[in-house]
Amino acid sequence: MILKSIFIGNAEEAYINEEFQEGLNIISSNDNNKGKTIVIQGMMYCLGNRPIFPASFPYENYYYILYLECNGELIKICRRGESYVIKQKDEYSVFDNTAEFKRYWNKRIEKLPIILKDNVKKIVDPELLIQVFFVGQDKKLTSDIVNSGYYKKVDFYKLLYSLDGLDTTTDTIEDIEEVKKKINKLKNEKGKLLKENKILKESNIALEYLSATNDRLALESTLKEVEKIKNKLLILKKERNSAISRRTKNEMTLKELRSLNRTMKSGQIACLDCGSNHIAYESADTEFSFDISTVEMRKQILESIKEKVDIYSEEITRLTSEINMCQKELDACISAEDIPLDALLIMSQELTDSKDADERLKEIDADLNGLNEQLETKDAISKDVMKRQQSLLESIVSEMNRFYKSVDLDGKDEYKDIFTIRGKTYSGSEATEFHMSKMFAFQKKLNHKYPIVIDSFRAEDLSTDREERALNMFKEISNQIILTTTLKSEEENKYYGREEINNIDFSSHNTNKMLSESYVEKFILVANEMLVSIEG
Amino acid sequence: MSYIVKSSEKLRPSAAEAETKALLYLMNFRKDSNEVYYFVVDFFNDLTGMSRMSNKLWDMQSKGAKSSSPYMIGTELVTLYKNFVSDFEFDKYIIFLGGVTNTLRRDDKPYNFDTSNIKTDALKKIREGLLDECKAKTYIADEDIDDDKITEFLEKVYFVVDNLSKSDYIKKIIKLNPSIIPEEDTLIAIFNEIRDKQAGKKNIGVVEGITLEAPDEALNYGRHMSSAEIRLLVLNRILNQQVIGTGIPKSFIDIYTKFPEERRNNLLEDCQLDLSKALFNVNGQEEFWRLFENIYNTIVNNPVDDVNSIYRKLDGNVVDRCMNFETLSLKYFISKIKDGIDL
Repeated sequence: MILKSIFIGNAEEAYINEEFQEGLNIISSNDNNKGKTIVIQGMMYCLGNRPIFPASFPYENYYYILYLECNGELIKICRRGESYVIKQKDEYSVFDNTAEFKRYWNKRIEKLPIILKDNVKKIVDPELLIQVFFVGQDKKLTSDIVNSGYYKKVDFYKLLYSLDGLDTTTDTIEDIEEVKKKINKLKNEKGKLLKENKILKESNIALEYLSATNDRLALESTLKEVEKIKNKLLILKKERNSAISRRTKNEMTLKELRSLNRTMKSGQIACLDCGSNHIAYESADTEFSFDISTVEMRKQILESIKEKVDIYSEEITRLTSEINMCQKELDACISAEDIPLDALLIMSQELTDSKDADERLKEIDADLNGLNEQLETKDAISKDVMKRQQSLLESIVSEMNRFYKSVDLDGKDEYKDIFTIRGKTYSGSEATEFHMSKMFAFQKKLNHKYPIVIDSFRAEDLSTDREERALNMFKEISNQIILTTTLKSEEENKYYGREEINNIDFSSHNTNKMLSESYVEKFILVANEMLVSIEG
Repeated sequence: MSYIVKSSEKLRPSAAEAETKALLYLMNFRKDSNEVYYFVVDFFNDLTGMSRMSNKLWDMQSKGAKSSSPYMIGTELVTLYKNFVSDFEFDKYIIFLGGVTNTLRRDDKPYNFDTSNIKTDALKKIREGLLDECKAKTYIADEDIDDDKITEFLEKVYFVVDNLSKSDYIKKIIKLNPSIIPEEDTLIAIFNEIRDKQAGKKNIGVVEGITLEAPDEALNYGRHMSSAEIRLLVLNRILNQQVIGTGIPKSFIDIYTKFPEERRNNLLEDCQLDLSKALFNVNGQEEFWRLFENIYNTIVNNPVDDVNSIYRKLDGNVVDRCMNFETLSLKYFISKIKDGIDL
């Protein structure tokens, strides 16, 4: 897959870049805030990623259009909010949500990996898949996946196995005994915490009492916040209702189709004189000898509608979870505002203690649930699959170490896993190396065709020597590679004129203002092609 | 003038495929193909093409075997000869062969040829074969076994050798927009559907011994298919490969974009559901095909018209009788057909 061009904009301003090529691309600029991250995130956004734009960039105001080449075919994707338009050959497809988008992708562009999530087989969402070939500038962690929430680390492991063609309908490598031990430990901790937690109850009464001292101002600001969340809730609920009604409509059609398929039986004509039913009627209307549809066609139609129903169901689940989150936010908003500062002061120590305990309790509950689920599926895991998963992981880690050793000649550390343990954090350039080695190893071992994209690949001062050695390693990979970096003034033109590098220079962009009017005309043309009509 | 139906053939399954290929050859690969309107199955012969007014006949015999020797070809010619000596006048006599030995042709390149491209020795063998077969068959009267007649007949026979795959025959039926040409499997499935229907025609009633006054009476026995319905079948099967998808037909985009953004997708889905219902409605077959034909013809006759004006040109009665569609979904259906044909 090769990313070719990106178009970002609306009727007032736009930005276009069509300079991306096969092989190694380095986007560089002489200053920060020149728009590198926006371009990279814009591309990932079009691929279905969650938006992770810089906070100062009002990403909701723009349309994003990405041209990419997959298996020799040009595909154009336009996204705004949760709406997508895809143009493939001369055919347009439109989607209202990422669930539909990924299904289309899976069906018409290329097969996507399938993993077992909450005991249901699921086509992996772009937000997780993208992490196999993309490292963003922000939110990256060495110890966990980006945006860990719905998806967890375990799912990422499953994704890797699935990409390697291993059976992922079974579970992780962690041993059953191990899980049981963990569960026990967590249960113990939970019991202990619950005992200590009695303080929390007492504090609550005090808090309630004290909350009466809330002043009007605080209340007002709370109400404003509540109003905002309420509106969001309303929109979400509306969306959910519409999804439910669409699903119902599809389900009804399914039933109706089955009845249409039944041939109507009508009475027979018989001669009243002799009782014979050997009577001929020659219809003038028998010009067509074929059926309107074949069994195959009908089966296919039924299946497509069933799939539609599934998509709506998935959408409803997603909306429901978002609504729940919104409601929690609402609760949090109300209760948090109820605690006045002085009240907090009074019981500071007790409160913090119990709060921590509360947090911890929640965590324990979540972990317990996860572990119990694992236990349930564990029984079915064949040892063989586990071995193969293990060996895949090992080979990825050893590849990571190979990369690490070639880049950091004096490196003493050795990577043990594709994630670091929670306590251990790599600092500075070590983290950068870690992420790079991961991207490198994933491609080498999984042989995927996705472009490798690393935003700010020299983050935290990767030395020039190490950078060169890293670039050298990446030569082993034939995929498209897109890296970005900010150059120091003495490094100016560093990549310029180097044959193996397609240097895309962002230095001329206005700082904090990459989008401009000059691109608007062309952008509108491109957008129109994607059925988006932008009014000036 | 009269014609007695004799020797209507019991079908060998292996031969059915060759007969369908013969039909599609007659329908699409000849210069005079567009004159052929009806295909009468297993009546005068394996297959007989008829013009719209039944006044011109193309007589066809097919032989599926991969390498027929000249002598074997000669024996196969007997049914064509039978029609040659009958009271009815057939315009063309065509034998469709699955394959021939290399002793037959002078020049191996042409796949369609007459006796001028047949080696002298081979022609002799053909003659022999035909003569022997004439003697063996009771339906050739002794006075018709005549050297001059046979010479005259052979000069009129046209030989066709099959050199294409099933899917090639189907592709030729409709000038499809290149972007929607379906997979090989789909084309073969369509071919098989035509083959089965063609074979099925043979089971309609018994025609042996029936006497006809004129060729047009052959149509009374329901053993025919029309080129229009075959064309529609192919178009229908290809276009409706994927009814419930998310693709928007190009011609429909104009209507689509005028809709409020938040309702667009619902609109599209409703149209697709309507079309699915129409395709499922076995009790509305006749209406569906008529509508389809009407839309197809309107589009072909008005190639520059957009969907809206085609919609207004449709036959109101035909449209009304197809209950599964409403205005928008019908326009969607029109768009699909319009985009499918390469005008």
